[in-house]
Amino acid sequence: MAPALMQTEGVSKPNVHRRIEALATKLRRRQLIGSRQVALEVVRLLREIVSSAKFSSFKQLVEHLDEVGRVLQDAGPKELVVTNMTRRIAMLISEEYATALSNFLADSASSSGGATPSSIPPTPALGSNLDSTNSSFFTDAGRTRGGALGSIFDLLGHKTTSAGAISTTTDGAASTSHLGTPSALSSPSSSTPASPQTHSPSSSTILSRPNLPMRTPSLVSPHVQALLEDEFSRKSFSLKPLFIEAIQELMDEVESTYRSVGEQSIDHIHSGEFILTIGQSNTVEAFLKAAARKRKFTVIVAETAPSFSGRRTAASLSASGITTILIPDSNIFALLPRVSKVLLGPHLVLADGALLSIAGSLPLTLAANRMRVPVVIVGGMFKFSPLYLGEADWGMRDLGSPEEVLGRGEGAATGEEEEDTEVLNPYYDVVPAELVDLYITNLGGHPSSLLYRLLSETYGTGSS
Amino acid sequence: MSSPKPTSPEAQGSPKRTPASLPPPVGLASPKAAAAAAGGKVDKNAQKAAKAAKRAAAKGLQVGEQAPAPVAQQQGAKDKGGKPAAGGGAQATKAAAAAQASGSKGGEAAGAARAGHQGAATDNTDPLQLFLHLDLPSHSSQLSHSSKSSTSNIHPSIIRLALQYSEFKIVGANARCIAMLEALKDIISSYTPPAQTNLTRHLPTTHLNPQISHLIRARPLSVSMGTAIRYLKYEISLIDQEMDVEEAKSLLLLKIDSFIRDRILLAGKVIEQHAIEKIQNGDTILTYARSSVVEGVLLEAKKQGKEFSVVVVDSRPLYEGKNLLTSLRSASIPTTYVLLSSLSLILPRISLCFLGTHALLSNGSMFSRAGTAMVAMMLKEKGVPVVCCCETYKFSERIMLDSIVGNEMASPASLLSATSTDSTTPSIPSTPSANLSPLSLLYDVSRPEDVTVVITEAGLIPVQSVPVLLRDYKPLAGL
Repeated sequence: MAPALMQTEGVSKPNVHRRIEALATKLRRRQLIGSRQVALEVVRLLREIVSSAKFSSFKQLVEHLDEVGRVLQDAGPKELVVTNMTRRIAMLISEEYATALSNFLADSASSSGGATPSSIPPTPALGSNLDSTNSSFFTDAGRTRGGALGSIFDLLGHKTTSAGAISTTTDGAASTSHLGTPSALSSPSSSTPASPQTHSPSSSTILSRPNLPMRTPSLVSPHVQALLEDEFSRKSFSLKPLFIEAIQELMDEVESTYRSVGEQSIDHIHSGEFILTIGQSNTVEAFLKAAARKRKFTVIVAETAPSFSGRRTAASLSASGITTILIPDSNIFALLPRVSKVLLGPHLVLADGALLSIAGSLPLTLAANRMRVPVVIVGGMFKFSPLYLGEADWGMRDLGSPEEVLGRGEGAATGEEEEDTEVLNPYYDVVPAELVDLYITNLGGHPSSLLYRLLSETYGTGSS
Repeated sequence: MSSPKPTSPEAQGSPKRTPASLPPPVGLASPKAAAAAAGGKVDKNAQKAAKAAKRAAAKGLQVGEQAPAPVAQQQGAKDKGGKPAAGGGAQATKAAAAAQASGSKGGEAAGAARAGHQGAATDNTDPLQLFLHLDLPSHSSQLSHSSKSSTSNIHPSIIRLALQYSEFKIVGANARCIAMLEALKDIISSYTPPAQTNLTRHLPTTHLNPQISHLIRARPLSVSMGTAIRYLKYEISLIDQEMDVEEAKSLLLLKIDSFIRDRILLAGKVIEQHAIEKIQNGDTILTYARSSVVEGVLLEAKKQGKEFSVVVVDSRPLYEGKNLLTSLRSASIPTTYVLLSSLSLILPRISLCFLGTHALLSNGSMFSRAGTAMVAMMLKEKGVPVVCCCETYKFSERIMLDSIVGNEMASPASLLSATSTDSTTPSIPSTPSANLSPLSLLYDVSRPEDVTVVITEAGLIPVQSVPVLLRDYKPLAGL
């Protein structure tokens, strides 16, 4: 299968394409399992692509990455981590680019004598002027329109303050509700309608993302600004080291997930408590093992038929000295009242906080919720997807082999012709966010109500 | 149930002798001395130790801790009770295969080692201490040829029945109760009261009680069996002392038959009729594990021409649902089979849920096969009516607030062994260590609010009416 890299194929060399192909094949064959493993592979590949890419404009690079991401995601549609990572990287390098661009523009503006350099605060990490992290940002149309709007606003602001005030107050609600829309251009400077130039930078960084690169050159003519940006975009080739550094940081973050999650464990586990978990998750194991160095507690592991992955967890935990009780899945309900926390390592966390977690998680979390037993989720930030279940369809739940559940010929009466039995063996359950009490990531612990902020900081606020 | 290793019976048979060697881990008494000492003191401590030894033996077998006695004793002295000796493993297999006697010693040593372990490191508490009051099932050979005084008077039918219970050949409240009543009929028909006493005085206490306690040694009494025994004893007490023995015996046999017929079989039929009315064409009915009543309902409904499909939810360790699946399939009922963990996937299509139960507690909780509570809760949350089918003789005066106060443990061996039932599943990869304790409860207690309606032979009642029915419903005199 040839990957569909029609438009931007030229960006990468053939040998890189072969690597993309290889990873896609691995994903397609499910040879690569585990969110963290997939995330690392994808980041590694993208790092290579960026470092060897030939591109004539920054836009082209981002589009290329985007396409590679799509190819990989199509190969492994269940591993949404692929999209998470490509979007994250696109966002990171765009941030780097935006910072560099604004510096460049400021320099050129100051060299032309007009600008006030003090009005260019450094771009905050979370608020670059990107509408979305993939191909849709930085389109030329948006750019020129932004520039034009900026200058018009400028003029209006100077002459008729009342008009500016009206336009911004009407937009105020909208721009705060969804920060990513271009309407955020009507900046909250209206609160001080006297002059748009003297608006407080703090309010702009809080309410709307600071579109500083656009505002600065408002003294320069929009035409010149567009030219400058084009020129910079062509030279963005030289920013590669910055890009690679940003990707490397992400890689470090993914690699150190277990450690950084584990470090928080003693904040959540007290001695002598009973913790119940199901399935097998490396993050959960790391979390518990880290806690076991300081505290003594008991872990109850449900064996999680039909994969029996819980047994692996039980074996691994007990081998590292944690008192472990292995129970069949049917005993979960009976033992839950004696459990003080339920710990889960989901496959994926969707944008609304819902979990895609091993089959059996929903009955467990529901029962825990009804018995007021807190449900704690541990997982790296890379597992947090900006997609909702509506977008990532229900087919995600993925059926496994029925033979694991009911062996051939089992449950059949001998001989005669009889009704066929449907045997279902789903991999995943979808657990709604309201059943989860705490999400622990490498960034810290979060309630589900904060996840949307976390995601917008991680992936930018654009819609996918 | 997987077949346990051949030596485990001996290992488990030993605890009677271990108590003597309890607190001092070092210098363990020899089995003979222990046996001699054990004759006198059967205090609480000893019993506890016996239980611990039993558990340790069950676990020890898994660990391969069948080292011959001396090795294990050394281990005990070193306070390394749980750790298997590297050399012991090889010997263990030998022992398991060949010498039963050595196996017995090994098991006992394991128990002793465990006791020593507990004694020396008191802070290292048993992770299963919450469940110490629950009994492990006795193994079959402990029941059959222990040839102690206790089994000498036991009727062969009871011995056979106890074996069937302990090997889970007969499971289910109804099946166990009927089988027990049949065995009691055997006893009664071959019974002759000793010379100086009469049937009314001798039969229920001196003669029947040891038989019943033998059954209890195999598995704890089910509520259904308790009701039946109480009924039988009541009937015995009603017998006129002057009545001819043969006549009394035939009267009792008749009474037992009528109990089986009225309280169990006919009750089941009546429940079937009530339940079938609740089934509509096109329904998808969910049931968990296997209940004889529910099975009867489904088969009878099909016979009456209802069109419906059945989702069988099942779970380890007993996989009873597979048997239900077999009989539903041969009745050409469309079936779906899932495990308990996959419940949420099939939930949207379920329109009705039938659950059988082991016993119905006085607050309306079902005391039923482990997992039933989870199923009931999920369906209730989903808004599916949960119908409990239960004969009145399974109603219990008892109230349990959780599933741990009164329960039964299944042999933990099946949890650790490579699943004997499925060849495809991965076995537990590493050797289980001292930190790993398997635990498998057979029953759980559901929440009363999860049950929409209870169908009994006395009609359809809400769970709140269970205690009322329990007090007022007297289908046969004396219950």
